[in-house]
Amino acid sequence: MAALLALNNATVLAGGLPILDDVSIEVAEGEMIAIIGANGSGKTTLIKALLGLVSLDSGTVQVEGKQLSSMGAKHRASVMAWLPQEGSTTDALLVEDVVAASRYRFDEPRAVALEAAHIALAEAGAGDLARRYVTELSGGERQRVELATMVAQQARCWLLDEPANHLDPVWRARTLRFLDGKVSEGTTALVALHDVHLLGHVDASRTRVIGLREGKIVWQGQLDHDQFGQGLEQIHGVPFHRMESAGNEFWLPAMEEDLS
Amino acid sequence: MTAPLRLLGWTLVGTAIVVATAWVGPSLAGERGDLILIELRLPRALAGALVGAVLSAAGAVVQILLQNPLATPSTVGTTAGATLGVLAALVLGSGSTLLGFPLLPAAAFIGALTVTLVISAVASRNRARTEDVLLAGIALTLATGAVSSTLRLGVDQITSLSALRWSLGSLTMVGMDRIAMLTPFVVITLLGLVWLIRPLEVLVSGTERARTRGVEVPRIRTLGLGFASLGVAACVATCGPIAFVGLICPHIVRRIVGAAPRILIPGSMLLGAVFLPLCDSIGRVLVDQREIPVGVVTAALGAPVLFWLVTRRSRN
Repeated sequence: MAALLALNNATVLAGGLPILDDVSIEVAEGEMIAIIGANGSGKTTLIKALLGLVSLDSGTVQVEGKQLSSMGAKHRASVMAWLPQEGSTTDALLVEDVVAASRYRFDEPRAVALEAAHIALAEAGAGDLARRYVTELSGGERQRVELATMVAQQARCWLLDEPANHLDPVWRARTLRFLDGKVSEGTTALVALHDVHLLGHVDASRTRVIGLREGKIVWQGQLDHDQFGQGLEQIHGVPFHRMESAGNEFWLPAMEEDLS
Repeated sequence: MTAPLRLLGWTLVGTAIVVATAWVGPSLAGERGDLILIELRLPRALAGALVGAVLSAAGAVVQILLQNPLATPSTVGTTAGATLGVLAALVLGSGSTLLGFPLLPAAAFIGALTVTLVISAVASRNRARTEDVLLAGIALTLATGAVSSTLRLGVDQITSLSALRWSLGSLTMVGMDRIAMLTPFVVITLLGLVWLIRPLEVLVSGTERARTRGVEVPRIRTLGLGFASLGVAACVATCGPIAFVGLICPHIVRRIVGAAPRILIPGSMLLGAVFLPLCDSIGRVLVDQREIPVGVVTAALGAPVLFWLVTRRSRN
């Protein structure tokens, strides 16, 4: 059976230089993939390439074996939902309207969309925010609303670009746990992260890690792979030390003096 | 009270204000008072309401489509394109129809559409920033303005003077015949813009987000700019270019009731429909014995608002 999503030999150039360099990945239904890499390694471009938001200089994107470019916008929205790195609108919009708008593909009456939006907000722990303006929300509240828009869209695969950026440690953990919960219910997820420790909040046994460096895939394997440390070194270009505390695993990059 | 009832209530209030503006100005006492009211003032008020509704709603939609609160048919060059089209038609002085269509709206529409297509092409590029779109609009406004000026130089003084008067934007000479010509364009434009509210509810959160939520962004953008251009072109052909209505009214509505397009667009229509006749009536009483064209009044009010918006944005 064809993969849910497939990126085949994708290259994206910016100013003649590759920001994604001959990258191929396949995402199976129900899978959780973490894309890790340093800033500027191509994580955002990879996600946008899968969504069809950037033009490929070479390569293709396929959804269940069909070319993405041949699919209508609503069909695409039924397969992929996106949580971008940048925050949502700065316009004064009601939270319930923002979430209801993510159900555009359903062609349903507004009352139905609003009802679904309220259910999604409750699931994301933001039921009390429905009648607030998004411009009045804190970072954590906004993130809950963003997750509610993903829930409301009811797409089969979630693509999240640095979903924990600008959040405090508690909300970073909650966001990743929420995502892990959705994957356990059958949602496919592909999440870009630069902080590898956030993966401590997801089920390691079902999480595949793809490491990007300078637009190329330099390592991939399961999160609980015994060579994960070497993988981090290949991804970031410096050795990582493994530490353990209270049953949790931590990876710290070697300090400058170790590197000299 | 439900939203449709509220809208109906505000529409009735707005209608009452529009009708009342017909009584503002030099006294209607005397034997010709009724004639002036029925033949001149009321048609002016009606034309002002129609033009104001179109310009304001078009401004609100263009702002959403281009993701910029400063974008309007004026600032992105659509008005200047329509102006050039009408000036060309006036100066070339060909027949009253073009391929079966009334000449002035046809010429205005061709001018507006040409500029709009260029702006749409700039806006649809993947990496186009909103500043690029606005700068392209300014460049096109200046370029079409230069061509318009050159056209004026090549004609006799009387035609040039009438072109200058027309370019100030005025409702003075709009009678029922022009309103009859304008109305179908207004109806098509307003219905078209209302029809786009649903995808615009998604687009207001960002172009890329809208694409991933199922909106055919290029199609909606083309339709939105097309309907806005059609309406603006018809308005320019009717009463000349009237600036800033599309900037001020949506901003006032946004500040009062929020930015949701399902409220913003009808609200902008309503406010524009009241605002323009009000400005026209102010122009009638501002200077004794003389009338100031409504386009001058809206520009005088709009320029400070634009300045305030720019400084507020830079503070944020």
